[in-house]
Amino acid sequence: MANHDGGRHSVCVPATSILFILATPDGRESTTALGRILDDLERRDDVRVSVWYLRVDDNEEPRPGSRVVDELRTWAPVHALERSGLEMIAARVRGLLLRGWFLKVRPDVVVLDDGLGERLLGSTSRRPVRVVRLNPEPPTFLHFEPTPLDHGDVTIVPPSSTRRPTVGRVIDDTLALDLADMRRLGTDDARRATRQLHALPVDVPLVVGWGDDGWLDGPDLFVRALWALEHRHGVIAHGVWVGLGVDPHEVERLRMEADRCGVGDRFHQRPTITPALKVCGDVVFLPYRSPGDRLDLLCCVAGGSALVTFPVTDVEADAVAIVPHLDVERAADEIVAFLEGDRATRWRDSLRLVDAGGFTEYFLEVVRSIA
Amino acid sequence: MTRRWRVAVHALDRTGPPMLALSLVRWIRSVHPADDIEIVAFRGGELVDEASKWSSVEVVLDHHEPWAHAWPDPLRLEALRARFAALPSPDATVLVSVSACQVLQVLPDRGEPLVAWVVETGEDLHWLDGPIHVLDRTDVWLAGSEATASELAVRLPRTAAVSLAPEFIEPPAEVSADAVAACRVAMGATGDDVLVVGAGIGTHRKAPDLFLETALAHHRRGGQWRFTWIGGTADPMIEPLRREAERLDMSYLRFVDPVVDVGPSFTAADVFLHPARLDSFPLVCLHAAAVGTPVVAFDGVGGVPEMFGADFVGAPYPDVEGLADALGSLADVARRASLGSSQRARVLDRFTSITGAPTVFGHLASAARLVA
Repeated sequence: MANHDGGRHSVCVPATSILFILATPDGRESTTALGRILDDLERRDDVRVSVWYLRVDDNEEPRPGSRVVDELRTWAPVHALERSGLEMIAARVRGLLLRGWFLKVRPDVVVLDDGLGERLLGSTSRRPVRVVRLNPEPPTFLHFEPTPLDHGDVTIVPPSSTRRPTVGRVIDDTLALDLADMRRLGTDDARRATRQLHALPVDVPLVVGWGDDGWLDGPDLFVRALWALEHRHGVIAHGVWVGLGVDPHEVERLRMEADRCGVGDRFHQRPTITPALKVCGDVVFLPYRSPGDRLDLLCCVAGGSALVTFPVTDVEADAVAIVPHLDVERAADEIVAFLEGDRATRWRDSLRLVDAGGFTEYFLEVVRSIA
Repeated sequence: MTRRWRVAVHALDRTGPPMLALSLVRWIRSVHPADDIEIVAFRGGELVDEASKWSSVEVVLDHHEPWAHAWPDPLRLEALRARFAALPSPDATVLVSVSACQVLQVLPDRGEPLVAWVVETGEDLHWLDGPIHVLDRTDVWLAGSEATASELAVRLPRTAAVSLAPEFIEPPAEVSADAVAACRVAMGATGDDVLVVGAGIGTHRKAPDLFLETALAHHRRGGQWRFTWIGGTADPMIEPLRREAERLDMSYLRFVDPVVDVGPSFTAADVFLHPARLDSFPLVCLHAAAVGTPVVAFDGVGGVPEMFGADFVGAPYPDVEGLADALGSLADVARRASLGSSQRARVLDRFTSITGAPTVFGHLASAARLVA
């Protein structure tokens, strides 16, 4: 992934024109979240932002400078043509007006919120990058619009979504998340405090894993990763597996497995999964044999942790390393690389997960790479 | 005077200790046909009929009957004790595995000698500390392997002497070429395929999951061998492993049902891979080696290294990659044949009932004389 630090306000290249086609200025959480990215984009010199709403109800307040597509239908002169039986001419006028709007905007990128508004894109003279933003909560007038697109060149999906397009680029709509807590828990001071609170070693490399599904979550592989760290890399790391508090047999089995692997004195178990414990280590290793919870993994990265896991997720970030299924040795390689890496850089890179500015940088990087 | 021996087992399922007990019983029956033998199993299993051919059989619990050793149902316990009170006293009792001590809860204690033939290691030795108080009741301690003996030396009172009485199998029967060919087909091997076989119930201890991982590691480094795990298909662990193999596109790996006679299947294998996390002296390894199939296993988790001495091939636990390397070291047919031959010679020389059963029986007879 590219470096997010460079060129935030540099204007060496022409400004990118981004047209947002939104359903309405409604009060949905996702609309509010999108408002934050619009605010951030509008502050930039390298981006021109235009906002069109498909409809605006009487009690709704559109953003300043925005257009309302439905006004093309209700505009008095066009309406008069229709009343005079000149529907064809009225439609042509509407088309010309819309084309004029597009000529003025000349979008490089069109973001279709809720996937709505594709019908408008026939009026563009060139094909912009299409971004479809999927919302878990649809707008109220959905039935007036053609079936929404479920993917574009880029699709922004809710982070908890399990239904993900298989074509184009997919990025997580992390703006809707409140990851500020993870950010607070991931600071050096907070991590130290968490370790002390849970009687975990402080000044040693600590690998964290969690899950309460027993064997399916791979805690046995986690234990063996500690063995591999020592025997392949000479790294004497501690590990804590969080969860399994309700399964004393599994806890005991893991303890014995750790003893057998010679890492019993460095393998810890804590019964209850908490956000603080998830990010209190230096590296997270989730050796899951079944798909991981995307939101869970995003939270982990947002908290500044590096994550090593198997191909059970499509979360993409510099701080995420995917190794082949069940390959404990490769996992240990990646854990060592992260332990030797720069946590401060990871911390900065994960910013896109927690604030509009970070997300905007990432979003622009993706759409510009396609444009 | 007719001597009477009681052989106690935790169950009569097709697992190591019951198979070992049956081997012992068959040897006693063949060498001392006048002796009475009684098998007492805490639970039943598929070997009940076979055991009944060689001795009287008492199964303590009903099929799938729940039982809490620390807090048994007092009424049920009283009923069971009443049921077994009429049993004649043996000259001596041998527990085949320390887990067989479960029968002591219901059998009358008339002071007859008790020989504990311990064939477990690690956490499986928890019965020593359990509510049965087997430490107090045992007169003679036997260890089925040096691995077990060294653990008993630590866990038993210093006054307790432990003698080595290695576990054994009965000498293998001849297997026809047709049977071997049929087994290879059933296990997914054709033509010149190299077939790696593992066997055991589907538990973490037997580690069919590590069998899968080793197969995966072997193929990741370009290997093309086929892998088949025999047994455990009724255990909850196997189905998730099947799904995992399917998900990882491991068409070269199979899990097949247990077999009554492992001889043909093990003869059909080119290599026997035993990735157990804990196994004091695995009989399946003896069976495989006895038919000339080279055995690969972990070191540090039981008695396989002592089973084969200088001919041991494997890797320290939990080095799965090392285990895959060890498999790779047997790519050459001549190397496999050579290793199989030397391991076979060692097993036939030291670990069959011809040499092993007299040792155990000798301790049993001595214990009986001690009391008399």
